[in-house]
Amino acid sequence: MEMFRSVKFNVGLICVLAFACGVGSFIPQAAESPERVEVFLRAQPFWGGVLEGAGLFNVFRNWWFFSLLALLGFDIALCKCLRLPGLEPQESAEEVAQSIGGRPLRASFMGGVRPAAAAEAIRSLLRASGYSVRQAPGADSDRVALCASRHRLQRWGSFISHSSMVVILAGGLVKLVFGFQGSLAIPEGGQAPVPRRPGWELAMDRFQVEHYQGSGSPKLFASDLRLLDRGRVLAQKLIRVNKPMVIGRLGFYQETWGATGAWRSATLSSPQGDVVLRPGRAQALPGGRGRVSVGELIPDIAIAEDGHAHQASSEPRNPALRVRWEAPGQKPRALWLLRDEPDAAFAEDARGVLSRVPPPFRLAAVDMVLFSGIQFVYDPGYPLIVAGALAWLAGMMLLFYLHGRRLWVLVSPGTGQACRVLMGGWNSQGPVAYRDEFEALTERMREVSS
Amino acid sequence: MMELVLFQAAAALYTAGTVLGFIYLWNRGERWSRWMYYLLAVGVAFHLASSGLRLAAFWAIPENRFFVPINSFFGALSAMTLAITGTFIVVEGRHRLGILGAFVLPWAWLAAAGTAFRGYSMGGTEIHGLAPALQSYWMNIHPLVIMVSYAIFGNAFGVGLALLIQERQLRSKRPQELCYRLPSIEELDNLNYRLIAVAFPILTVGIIMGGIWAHEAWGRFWGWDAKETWSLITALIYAVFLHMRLVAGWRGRKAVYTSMCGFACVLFTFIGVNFISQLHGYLSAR
Amino acid sequence: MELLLAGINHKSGAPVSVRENLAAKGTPEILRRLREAGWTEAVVISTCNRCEVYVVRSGGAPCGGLSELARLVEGLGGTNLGSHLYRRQGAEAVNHLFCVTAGLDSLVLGENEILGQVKTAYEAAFAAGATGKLTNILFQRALFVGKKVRGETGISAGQLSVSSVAVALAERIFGSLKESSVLILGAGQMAELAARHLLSAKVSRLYIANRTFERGRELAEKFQAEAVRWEDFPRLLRSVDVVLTSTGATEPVLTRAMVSAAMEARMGRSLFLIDIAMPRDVEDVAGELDQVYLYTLKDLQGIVDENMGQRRKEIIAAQALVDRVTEEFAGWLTDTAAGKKASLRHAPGRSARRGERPFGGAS
Repeated sequence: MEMFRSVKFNVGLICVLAFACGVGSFIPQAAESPERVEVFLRAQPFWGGVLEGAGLFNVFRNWWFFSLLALLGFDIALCKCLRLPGLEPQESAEEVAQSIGGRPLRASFMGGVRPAAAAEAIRSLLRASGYSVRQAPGADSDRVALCASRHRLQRWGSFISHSSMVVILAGGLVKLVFGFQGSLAIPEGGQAPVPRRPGWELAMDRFQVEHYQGSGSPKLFASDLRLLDRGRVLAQKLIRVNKPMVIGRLGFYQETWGATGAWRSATLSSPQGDVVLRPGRAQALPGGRGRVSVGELIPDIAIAEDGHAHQASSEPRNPALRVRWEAPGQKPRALWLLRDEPDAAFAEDARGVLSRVPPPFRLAAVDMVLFSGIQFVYDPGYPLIVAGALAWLAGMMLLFYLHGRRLWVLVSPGTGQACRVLMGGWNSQGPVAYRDEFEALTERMREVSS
Repeated sequence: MMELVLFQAAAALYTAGTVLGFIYLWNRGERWSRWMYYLLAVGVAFHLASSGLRLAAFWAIPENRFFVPINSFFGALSAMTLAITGTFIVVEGRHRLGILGAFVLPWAWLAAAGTAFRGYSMGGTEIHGLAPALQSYWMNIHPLVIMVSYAIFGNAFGVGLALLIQERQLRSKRPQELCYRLPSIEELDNLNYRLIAVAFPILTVGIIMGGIWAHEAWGRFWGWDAKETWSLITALIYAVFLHMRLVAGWRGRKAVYTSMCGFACVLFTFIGVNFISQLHGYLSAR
Repeated sequence: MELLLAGINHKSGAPVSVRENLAAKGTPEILRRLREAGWTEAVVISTCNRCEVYVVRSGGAPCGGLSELARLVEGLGGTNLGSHLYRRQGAEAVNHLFCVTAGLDSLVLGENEILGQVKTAYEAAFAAGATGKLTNILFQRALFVGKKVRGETGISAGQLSVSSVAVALAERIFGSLKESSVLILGAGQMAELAARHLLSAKVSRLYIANRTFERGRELAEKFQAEAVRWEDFPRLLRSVDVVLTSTGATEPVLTRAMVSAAMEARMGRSLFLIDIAMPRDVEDVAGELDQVYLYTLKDLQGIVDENMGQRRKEIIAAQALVDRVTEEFAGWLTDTAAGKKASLRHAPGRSARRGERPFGGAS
């Protein structure tokens, strides 16, 4: 038990945690970039195996990492939370006398009155200066020890901030045990069942995306959501990033978006006129140039090294349509048309290899069916963490910004009618910040007890 | 372009202030440190004017309105410069240790030079529309709070450096003039601690605010991305410093080394992390 | 109008009795005698290292020249001084006065007390009505030059005694010594000297521990210090900030183990150990501990020597500055004598700001 209380052990523990975090930030983590972990494992089978065995590809969701955090929480609770600052035993006069010489600020002077009178004068002076004063028990007939303090609340700072850490860790634990999360990709107009909530369905009626002009980076994306419980609407909201839909502790967050690969309509244009295509139907081209039908949509096309078409991402960055064109008197041809590159078209041969050809007509527009990636999180630990955060804020304010001061005054008999006064001072912000006030107080005490 | 011109004026004044700070290290004569202070103050005024113009341009994009323009390297570095010089002016104004200029201002100068370089070489003062994830009122709070704490840590680092030099001077048994120009060991140690004790709550509260923002955006407080992880490491190391100083009574060299490790983490979190992860950068959306 | 000077100092080799005689006469008396002899403007600088009489010979008044002044000073000193008495006039006398206030003529090069002494001498003359236009301007100028030389050259930089170096170092460690308490081990002559110096630095408390308690108590009473029994001093190491050792012990009395144990209890507060004993009182390895700064007599003496050397290097720059100001003053003097309107620049040009050394502090 003593070991868990010792500063050295806990500082060591913090260092180990910090080191583990550092390692975790340099080694690819399976949770964030599984593909990099794969690459590493293939390239370095031996070291990869060692790292995997130690859990270093998954530092932050690992049993030993959780154990370290739990141990830290336990130690903080043991050291701090069980010791209320108000419950410290009162110092006795003897203890005051023993410790006064070792205080960071010290002063001594001779007074001209009897110890009891001097103590009384000093006590009322300290009270008038905003200190709360009590007399240490165990004083003998003429030796008086006073303990005074100002902004005593400062002493709670350490207790509150340490406790709040435990509360925050507990909040994390609650989420780990009772919470759940995952993501749903719902196409426009589609619905998806909500896991762990039987009968609940999430409907995404409309998805909206806007881009900044010029850079093309997204400006806004939003999903119109309805949460249904067996057909009854529980909640409805247009969610965006930073504007989730929360019901109970279950929140739905806008995460990603992309194209499903499905489409509603596409417009082909040629000098002879435009034609609007629909899925699953062949259409005649104007000017008697034959018929076209659409096979496939790739929202973000790229041409692989082997010459095949493949999908670079699910975002509709560079959509391409594979059309089957039956020109009069020719064999049907497969052609890839790119919306964003009107001057290029690619003919696909029987092996699926693409080759660039002059475009016989252009893909002017394509209305793609988008999906919205919705993250759902059930976080029952949320109130605990927010409470912990607020307590941390309060604790930090008290601990570091409130200037707590303590004074110990020992009045003992001097020669004859005189008394000898010893003073010790401590403050939370370092002696430099208190020195002037301490000296002024000493001077005034000397005056009142002379 | 007026914005860049004003910023360059500010950067020139910061440079001059830094040079004066170094001169003061070797030359007695309070006027060096006084002029250092004045030049910095004027520099900050120019910098604020430049930032005002930048804000006007930034807010011309409706989605950016009333958010701070720190979603670019130029903006982030410029804000960092302002934070360092601002906190230095406060610390110097309170403690009047002209000697610190030479130890703290190089950081401000580096940040200003980085900003100016960015402004010159990489597309002027680049103004981007905010990514959806950054369109939150937290954008005005979380990064700025953390930058202020970084700036104060930077000041503490300068104080720590001065302490190490003073310590060496006294250990050498042949102290040179510098020894008599530097504040005493106890004063430097106390100031180093005080600055960290002021910055630590700001940093941790800033990190926690970031967590609450992340919860609003993605439903989780903490995602262990590299930036988050390194900010946690920074906070842990400064926590070690505070515990060792307050509970175990570490002073002087050992304490300063610990706090310097903390500052190394600050630098890594602010700059280095961008090289190991794309997430949580000033340009990225998450 | 011409300035005349006759005087003796520590370098001129005059018998000590002369200086004593002159000092015994008292400045008012000397000034009275000078006025009787016809010199209406006169200033007497009399310190333990020098006695100098400055007078102004104006054209109209019936007063003597340099030889009359010398005779009068010899009369006051009670003996014939011959070459021991230096005599200067005009620019040379001005130059001498400026050298004096600059500390170039002092026993301890660049010392600061002389400024105060010259000021007192001038004020005394002023109060006695013995100053006039020339002396007023001259002495104010001289004090200004004294400060200027100290500010612009390193002539008075760095401490020149072991104990003041020790106090200056302690201040580099603890800042103000007001809250620091000091423990002195030993009660010999060196200990007494150190105690005197430390008390003048206003330390909060002084403890004296000696093997024979009685000796320690005697010394402690002298300095309002607290006598501590020898066997109790290791406990005090936990709370005092400066420990000065000067016992006659042949073996170290303060071991690394003792210091190390004390440091555990000091919560990181630094400890300054000054060992001025021969043979050494503190184990050398004790100075390797963190937060412990150990200086021996040799170290302190080394710093003193170095400071002395640094001051010597500044003599040329200081002398050049004094010469330049003298020239300026002499020029002004001639111009005024010729009836021209002239003014002294109060802040002479910066061209001579060389050899500036950032090494402050009084000696």
